Order: sequence, then structure tokens, then C-alpha cells
Amino acid sequence: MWHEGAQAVLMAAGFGDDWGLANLWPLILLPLAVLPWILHGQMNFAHPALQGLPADPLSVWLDRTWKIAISALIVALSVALAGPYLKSQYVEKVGRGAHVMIVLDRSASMNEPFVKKGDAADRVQKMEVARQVLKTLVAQGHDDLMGMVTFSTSPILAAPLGNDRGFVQAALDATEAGGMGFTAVARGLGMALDYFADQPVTGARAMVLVSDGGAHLDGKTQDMLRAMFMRQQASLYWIYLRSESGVSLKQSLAEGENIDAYPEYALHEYFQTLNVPYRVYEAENPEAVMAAVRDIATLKNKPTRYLEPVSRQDLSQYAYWLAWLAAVLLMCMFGLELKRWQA
Amino acid sequence: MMANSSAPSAMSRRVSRVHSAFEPALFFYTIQWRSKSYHAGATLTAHHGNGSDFAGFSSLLACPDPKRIDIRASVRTVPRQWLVRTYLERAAIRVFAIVDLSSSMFFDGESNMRQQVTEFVSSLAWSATRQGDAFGMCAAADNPIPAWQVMPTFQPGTAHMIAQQMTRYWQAAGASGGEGKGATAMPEAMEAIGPQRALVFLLSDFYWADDLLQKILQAGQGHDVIPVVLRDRSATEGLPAFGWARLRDMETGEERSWMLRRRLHQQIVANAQQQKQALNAQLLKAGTRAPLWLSPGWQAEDISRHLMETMA
Repeated sequence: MWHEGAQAVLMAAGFGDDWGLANLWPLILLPLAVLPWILHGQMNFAHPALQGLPADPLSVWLDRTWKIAISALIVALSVALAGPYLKSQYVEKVGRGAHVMIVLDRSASMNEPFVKKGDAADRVQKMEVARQVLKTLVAQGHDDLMGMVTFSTSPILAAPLGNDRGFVQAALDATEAGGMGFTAVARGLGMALDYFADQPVTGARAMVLVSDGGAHLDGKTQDMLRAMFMRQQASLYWIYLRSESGVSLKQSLAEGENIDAYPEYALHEYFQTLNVPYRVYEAENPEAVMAAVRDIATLKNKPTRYLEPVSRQDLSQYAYWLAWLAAVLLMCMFGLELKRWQA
Repeated sequence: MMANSSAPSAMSRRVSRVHSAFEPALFFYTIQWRSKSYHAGATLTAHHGNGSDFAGFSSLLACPDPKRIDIRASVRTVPRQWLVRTYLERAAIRVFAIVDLSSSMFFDGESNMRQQVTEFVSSLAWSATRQGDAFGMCAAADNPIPAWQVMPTFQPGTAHMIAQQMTRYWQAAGASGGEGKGATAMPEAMEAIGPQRALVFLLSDFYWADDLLQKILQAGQGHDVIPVVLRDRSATEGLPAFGWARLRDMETGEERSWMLRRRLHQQIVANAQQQKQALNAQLLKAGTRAPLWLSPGWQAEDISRHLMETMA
């Protein structure tokens, strides 16, 4: 019966799930720890009458310390021999960051600079600017979970949503290869939103769409995207890399102009109807992009909970440390002990 | 004080030395009370007889001893009658040594306590025999010890006989002395003296519990008790200056650790002093003579002086 009880206790302590022992046999040595309390084999000196003499608290504690140190040494050594370890497990961490999915446009137009004229210093590619700025974004906020999806004609998963910064940095480096194809915003956003689907809603979710242009979305796609945004509760930040010739989103269109001629504007109008927090940063030059990114980086989020895997950890070193300390203590006390009674 | 491990060899050497050359000291004691025995001796009795201590006059008819007719006293009587001077007899008393043989008496410190016991008791036997008194002895630990039982005797060889007896006992008991023995049979040993008043030397270290001490003193209330305190000074003085030691009580086996340092030394010495005063007070209150604190190099003269000074 008590066998079951012991099992229940072990289960409650998490034995097998959270921690384990490399060897079980050294635990047989544990009962030896009571020896100093029941054996009186230490060297002592005869005295005719101790009863009447004053009690000395320091001496009493010294004796107790001696016994405790021996017990601790035995326990620590047998535990160390048993080799306790923490199993590989997930540690729940509380991050103060957001879940950020970067959706990066890699269409051919991203290869162009912001301005056509000017010297080489001004004529940096939009992609180049976006990459540098995004890299600083990734390098900031250590608690954020990040992922990246690039898209041109069809979306490509560059980095899944996770705590691995190196992954995202490498994915950003990989965009140096140059863009091609069209701007399929909807599919990119859809893919990115899919990555929120298997995560619990424990923090703010942000989609950072970096693109230099828009695309026309048909009604069915619009409805589907709206539904996904609603379901995933993700807010949307659009860094619109406006080139010289591009349309500005800040001004409303003139009367009578066809909205279909300006897909960026149509997209902007559509995003505003998503019923999720939405902000657009219109950037005409690298500095403006930088400002937009800084804005996103300083977002205040509710605490984010996520699980981080931890590898198996050996705990016997602590037991050895304890044993070492006990041994040093015992050696000091042995040195203090009188070997012969002589005045 | 010896360590547990190295004790036996050192001890056996010492035991063999006990009384290799025994020469009992002679000391004197006087008593104020009167003996009731009829054995000729040195102590004044209450009964009349052939002595030299004048008791009074009595009629010749009551005490028909014409040799002691006192004419001057007879002349003064009205009506005339012959008066005879009467004298008190002198008789022997019984002198007892009651020895505590609990484990603490086996303590080896500054001197060998067992040797001190042997020397004192045989000197006492010698002195008692020389004064014409009967010497008897009783000893007890947790039980009365038959090997030490000596009925009151006037035999001249008593001192040497008991010296041998004691030495044999010490050798048989060995170094440990049967570790863990108390003194609970001491009242019985005291009662074994009997109802007739005796001069009792109570030999012990007096490391007794209060109630045991009271019981023993109560048992000896009818006698003239002289406590002889044998306490080794090295148990509380001249301890190692610094260090940690474990001590074991010889009687109870209780262990105690001592972190020896200046403050503890002071405490121990003060405590021993206080214990000494308390013991003196307790003994005097119980009606014994002033206790005789026996130091290792005692002289017969000192003991005689103490006994005469404290004649109660």
C-alpha cells in the first residue's frame, strides 16, 4: 500500500517528468546520514561531573554543526553519486514583447531607389533601406517573437514565428538576392497570419507589412483576409515605401478619380475597414523608414508568455559543491579539536 | 585527564604503583560526645568505673570501694556518712570509613584519586587502631561492595589488611572502574553502621545530586560525620587554553562539547568555586563537621589540626 503512496509522492514531485536520477543505488547510502546522531565514537575525555557545570551555547552549537556537517556530507555525496538531472523541458518565460510577423515585399520594384536622380549615396535601393532598418528592428526588443514572410508573386516563408533572432537576421540577409515578380500582398499577409494560428493569444500581435506598392484585392480575398485578421487579433503596421512617382496616402483622392488606378490607395482604404488597429507609415526616404520602425519597436505590449526549450541539466554539481563545503567545514573543526588533554 | 584510546596502558602502569611502599600516617582525632561502649579505650564515657576523670561523690554503701574514700568530703557531710569519689570510665568508639566508589572516583587528574583514597583510609585505620578504637569500613556505588566491607575491629593489622584489600579491588576494577556507576547505595552503606554513635569519615568527591546528598546525610544523622572531599582540581582548573573537546561524564555517560576559551574558563572556575561554597553550606546545615578538603599532598598534621579545630 505504501508502495503506491511512495509512487504518488514521486509523481507529485515530478519524478520522471521533470527530473530523474542517473543511478538509483547510491540512495541506499542515504540512511548513513543518521550515524553521527546515534553513534558516539568520537574521541572524548573523561570528566567526573559535568552536570553542575555551566552550559555553553557556543559549544553546543559547535557539536551540532559537526553532526550536521557529517550528515550533509553523506547526503550530498550519495545524491551526487545518484546523478540527479533536470530533463529537457520547456520553461515558461514571460516576455514583454510582441509577436511580430514581418511581411516583406520582394517584388522587382523594391530594387529601385527612392529617387531616380541624385548621387549614389541617395540612390540606395528601397530593399536595401528596408533591410537595414528591419535588421535594427530585429536586433532590438529581445523579448519579441519574430517571424518573416517574403512575397512577390507567391509568398515564401523566410523564418517561422519564434525567439530565434539569428534565423530572422539570416532571412533578411538572404533578401540581398534581389526581388522579382509582382506584389501579391494578400497571399503574403495570409501566410503570415497563418503563423499566428498555432500560437495562443498571449501577447500583442503585429504584422509589419513592408512594401512599396499595393495590389488590387478582389472581394472574396478581402473578406477572407478580414476574417483572418479578426480571428488572429493582429494589428497591422504598413510601412509604405513611397517612391517619387508613387501616390501619397495622406491626401485623399481628388474628386472623380478612379480608385482602381491607385492600388495603394485602395489597399489603404481596405486596411482601414479591417476592424483591427491599423497604422500606416508613409516613408519617402530612409530616415522616414527608420522613424517608422522606431515607432513600432517602442510599442507597449501586454506581457507575452511563451515556452522556451531547455536542454537536460545535470544537478549533481550542486551536490558536489555542498559536499565540498561540508568537508572543508569538517576539516576546520577537526583542526580545532584537541587531540590530547594538556594545559 | 586521559583520552579514551590511550587510557588503559597508562592506567595499568599507575595501578601497579599503588602502595608499593605503604606507610600509614598517624593523625589524631578528638570527640566531644561520650562513648557508650564498654571496650577499654580513650574516649570518655558516661558510666562510672576505673578511670581518671572525676565524676562526683557517692555513698560508700552505694559504691563499696574503700580505696577511694574521700575524708575531706566525708567530714563535711551532715549527717555523717562516708563518701567515695567516683570516676568515669574511658572506652573505645567505633570509627568508620564510608567510601563512595562511583565511577567519578576513578578520575585521573592531577593525582591518582584511588591512591589518595587508599592512603587516607589505611591511615585512618592505623590511627584508629593506635588510639584503641574499632575501625570499620563500608563502600558503595550503585550497590554495596562486599570487598570493602570491614566489620568494626580492634585488630592491630587492620591498616595493612585493608590497604591490600583496596589495592586488589583497584586492580580488579581496572581503569574504567565500571564506567557509568552512580552512588545510589550510599545511604545503605551509611545505615550499615548501626544505631550506636560512631565517628564516620565520609569519603567522596561529593558530585552527587542534591536529593542523594540529603538522603545520605540523613542516614548519618545519628553519627559524628566528617565529610572528606576528594575533588581533583584539574577537572575545573588548568584546562587547555584553547581548543574544542568532547567530554564524557564518567557516571552518566553524558557527552558534552567544550569550546575552551578564556570566557568558558572563567565560567567554569567561578562555577566550581560556587559549588564548593554551596557544598560546604549544605554539609554544615545538615549537622556534619566542617568538611575536610583533601588535597593530593596532604600531611597527617594538617588533618589532625582540622579534626581538632572542628571538634563538634
